[in-house]
Amino acid sequence: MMKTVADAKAFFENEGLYVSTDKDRSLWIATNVRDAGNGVLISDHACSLIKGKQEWTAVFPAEASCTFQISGALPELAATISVVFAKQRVTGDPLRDAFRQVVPDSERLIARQVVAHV
Amino acid sequence: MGNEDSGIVGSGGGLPYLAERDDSDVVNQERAFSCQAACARQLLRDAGTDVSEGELLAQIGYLDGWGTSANNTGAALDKLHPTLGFVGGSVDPTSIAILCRRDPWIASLKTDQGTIHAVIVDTILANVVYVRDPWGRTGPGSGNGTRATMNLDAFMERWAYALNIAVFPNRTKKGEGP
Repeated sequence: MMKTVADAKAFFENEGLYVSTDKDRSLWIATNVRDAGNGVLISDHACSLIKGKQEWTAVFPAEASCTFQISGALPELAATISVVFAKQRVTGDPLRDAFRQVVPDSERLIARQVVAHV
Repeated sequence: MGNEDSGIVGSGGGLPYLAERDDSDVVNQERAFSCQAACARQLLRDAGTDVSEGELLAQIGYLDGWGTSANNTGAALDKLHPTLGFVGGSVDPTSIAILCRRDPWIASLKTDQGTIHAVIVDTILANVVYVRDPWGRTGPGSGNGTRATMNLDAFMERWAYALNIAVFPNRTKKGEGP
């Protein structure tokens, strides 16, 4: 049963994905990782998986600097991430397009840039 | 930075700042979605190059209702900055120590409202992140941006929720021809 950041890291690495962790709270999962200079690693196809108090959140790129955010249990989110990357590998399209093809009603999951603050 | 104690704690930008103060030397974004472009404008101004936000948005490409992309902002800065080359995208969060050893860079962060907002990261000292925020106190029209501080753990969480998006200098242009 997948429960921890370490469990998830092992799962994604077994899928051939690059995984980096920030303590025991989040993972950066990517393909086509390259050194942008002085060892700073960058990717055009990356998502985040973050441990919350009660559930986990997966974050995928949308247009511009906006994101898709989907929350749930770790095993389900890990499965979704795996399918999205598999779709991206097949199509070669941006990860956001793969996300849209895999996750139904994806537009409601978009977090946009600042519109207004209250 | 200094003078943190004189600032009002809390951010109009919806970020969990330890302290925040107005600074007339920090540019204020002119549109609701232009935070990343405003940060780029600030980095150019720091280097002695004055470009209007409108000109920058035209170069970067601005999607109304969405904002700007980090790789386009990096490309524009790479072209316009007099001494540094830039790149933008989603970066491995463990690269933060390397990023902060160099010049200021732009980070995207998730706000309390669930939106994504860009700030300039100047440095990290003793687990405190020092930023410049183009939102100002009340957003576009504030007149200026702010300087603020944030706990490193809070910064890392907000950055992860924004896909660890960064626009950062990756080389000096010394020796590069015109």
